[in-house]
Amino acid sequence: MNRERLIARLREVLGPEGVLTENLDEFASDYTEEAPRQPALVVRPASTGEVQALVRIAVEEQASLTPRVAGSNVGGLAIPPEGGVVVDLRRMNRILEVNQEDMVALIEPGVTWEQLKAHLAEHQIPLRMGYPLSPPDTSIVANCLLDGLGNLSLRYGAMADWIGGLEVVLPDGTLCRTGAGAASPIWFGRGPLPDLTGLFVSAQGTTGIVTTMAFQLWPQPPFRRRTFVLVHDRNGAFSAMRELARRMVCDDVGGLSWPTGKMLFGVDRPLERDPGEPEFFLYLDIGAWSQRELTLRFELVQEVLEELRAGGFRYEEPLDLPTLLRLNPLFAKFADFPTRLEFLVDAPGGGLSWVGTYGPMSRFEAYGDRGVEIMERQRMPPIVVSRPMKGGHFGVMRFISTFDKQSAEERARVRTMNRELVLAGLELGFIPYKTPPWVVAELLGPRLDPGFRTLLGRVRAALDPHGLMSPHCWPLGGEG
Amino acid sequence: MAWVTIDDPPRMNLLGLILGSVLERNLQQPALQRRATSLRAEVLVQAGEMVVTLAFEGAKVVVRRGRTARPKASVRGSLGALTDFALGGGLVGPVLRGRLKPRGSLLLLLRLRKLLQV
Repeated sequence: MNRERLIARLREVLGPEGVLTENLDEFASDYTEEAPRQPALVVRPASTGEVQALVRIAVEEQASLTPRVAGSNVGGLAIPPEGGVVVDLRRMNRILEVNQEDMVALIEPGVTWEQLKAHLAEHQIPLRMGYPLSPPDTSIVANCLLDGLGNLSLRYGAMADWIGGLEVVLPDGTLCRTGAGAASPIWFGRGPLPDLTGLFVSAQGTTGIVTTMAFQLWPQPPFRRRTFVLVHDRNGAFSAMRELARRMVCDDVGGLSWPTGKMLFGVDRPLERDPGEPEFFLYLDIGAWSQRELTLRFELVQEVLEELRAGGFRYEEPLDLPTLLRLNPLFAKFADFPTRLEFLVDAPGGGLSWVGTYGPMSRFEAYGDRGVEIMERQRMPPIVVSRPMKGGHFGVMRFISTFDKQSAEERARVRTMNRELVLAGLELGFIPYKTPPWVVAELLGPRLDPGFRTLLGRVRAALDPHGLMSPHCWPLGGEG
Repeated sequence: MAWVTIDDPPRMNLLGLILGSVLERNLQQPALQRRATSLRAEVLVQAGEMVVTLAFEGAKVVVRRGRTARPKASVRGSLGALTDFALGGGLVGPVLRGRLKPRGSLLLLLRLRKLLQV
C-alpha cells in the first residue's frame, strides 16, 4: 500500500474533510485491555456512493478497511490492524424513513439510539425500540449487526433478529440489498427470499460495509410498571428468570449481581458482600394495554415468586422504580433508556472489559458458579449481568470488569481472567457474542465444527478475495 | 460539609449505602442538621440480615456495618417495611402488625424517622 497515493486518491472522492491523517489516537483503542493499534488514516464517507468509491480505491491500493461508528465496542473489533484504514461512519447518520404502519425504520449506520428516540418523540410516532445498555450515542446498526442484546430481547430475541434487511457495499464496491427490500418497496422482513442478511450478521465487517438497515420497531403499550426484586442467592434469580421468561409476563427481565448496586452508590470497587446481603437484583419491566392487564401481569409475577419461595428461594418484596427514585435519585439510571451507566463506562482508570456469552439457561447456575469463582480469585468484584432471551430459548451471561488501563499488571490480569471466563463458558456450551479476535484465535476457533470453519472461509474468500475487510476479525486462518 | 461518613465503603452493605445516601441528602436541610446534631446516640437498623449502626456524633453521622455493643435503639424489619418507614409510613401500625420490631428508645426512633424520611 502506497499511503500517499492512497490519501490523494481518497481525497479526490471524499474531499479533504473526508480523510483524516493526523491525531488518530481515538481510533487506536477502545475501553478494553486490548493493546492500541495505530491506523494509517481514517476516512469519513457521507454517502453510500462515497463508500462504494472508497472501497474500490482500497481494493486497488490493497488497503485494509475496518468500519467503525462510536468506537465503544469492548472487544477490539473496531481497532484496525496496524497501519489499516478506519472507515468512520458517523457522518452517515440519516434516518431515511420511519414507516409507522409497517413498524420499520430505514437508518444509516451513524444513527444513534438517542437520535432515533428523539425522532420518534418529535414526530409523535407511537412505536418503541429495544435499547442496549451501551451509551445513548452509540450506533443502532452496529449493535444489530453484532447481534447484541437489548431490553426487548426477552420478547423479540437478540438484536440481529430486529434487522429487516440491509443495503450493503460488498468488498468489490457492488451495492446489494438483502431481505424483502431486494424485491419490495417495503422492507418488511428478512424473508421469504434466501436470508442473505445473515452473511453480514456477526461477520464483524469481514463481508461488506452496511450503509442502510431496516430496523424493526414495535407498538408502545401505554401502561408500564418497572420493579426491582432483591434475591438472596443468584440461583434464585436464575430460576425466576427462567419461569418469568416461559410465562411471558414481562417485557424485560434482567439480573444484576450485588457489586453493581454498590457501584451505583459510588463505591468504585466493592470488595466484599455482607453475608446477609441479597446477591442479585432482578429488574422487571412490565408493559400492558390497560391498567387491568398491568395489574394481572404483576399478580402473575407475584405468583411466580411465591411458587419459587415455596421451593426454598428467598426474594424480598418487589420495590417499584418510583419508590427507589425517592430513596435515591441515582436509580434514574434505570428509569429510562437509552442510559449511560457512568459507574461502568466512566469508572476510575478508564478500563471496561467483559466476557459476554449467549448460552443455555439450563446451565446458568453452573456458569454462574464458575464465573464468580474465577473473578473472585482474580480479586475483581464479581459483576454478573444476565437475562433470558427470546422467551427463554437462551440467555445471556456476562461478566464485567472495570480496571486501570494505565496499569500493565491490571490489563494482564483482566486478560487472564477473561480467558478463563471464556474457556469456562465454552466448556458449558456458552458462546461469546461480539466475539473478540483473540477469543476466536485462541479459544473458539479450534472448537468450531470443521465444516463450519470451511464454509465460513469459503464465504469470506468469495466475497473478499483480497482479505481486506476487517482482516483482524474472525482470524481462523486459511480456508476458515 | 459532608455530614455522613460511610465507614469502609468497599465493604459496606447495601442497606448502609442506602441509609447513608438518604441521610446525606436530608442533612442538607439546616433544620434536620440541628435535629441530627442533638441526637448523640447509636441506632441499629436491621433489614432482613443486613445490619448497620448509625452513630450520631454531633456534627457528623457515621454509618458502620454490623452492630455495636450498646445501641440506644434498634429497628428491625424487611427491606420493604423499612422502605415504607422511610417513605413516610407510620411507626405504630407496622409495629402492631409485626412488620417492624423496635427496641430501646421509641422517642429516638421517632426522631430518626424524621431524618430518614424521603
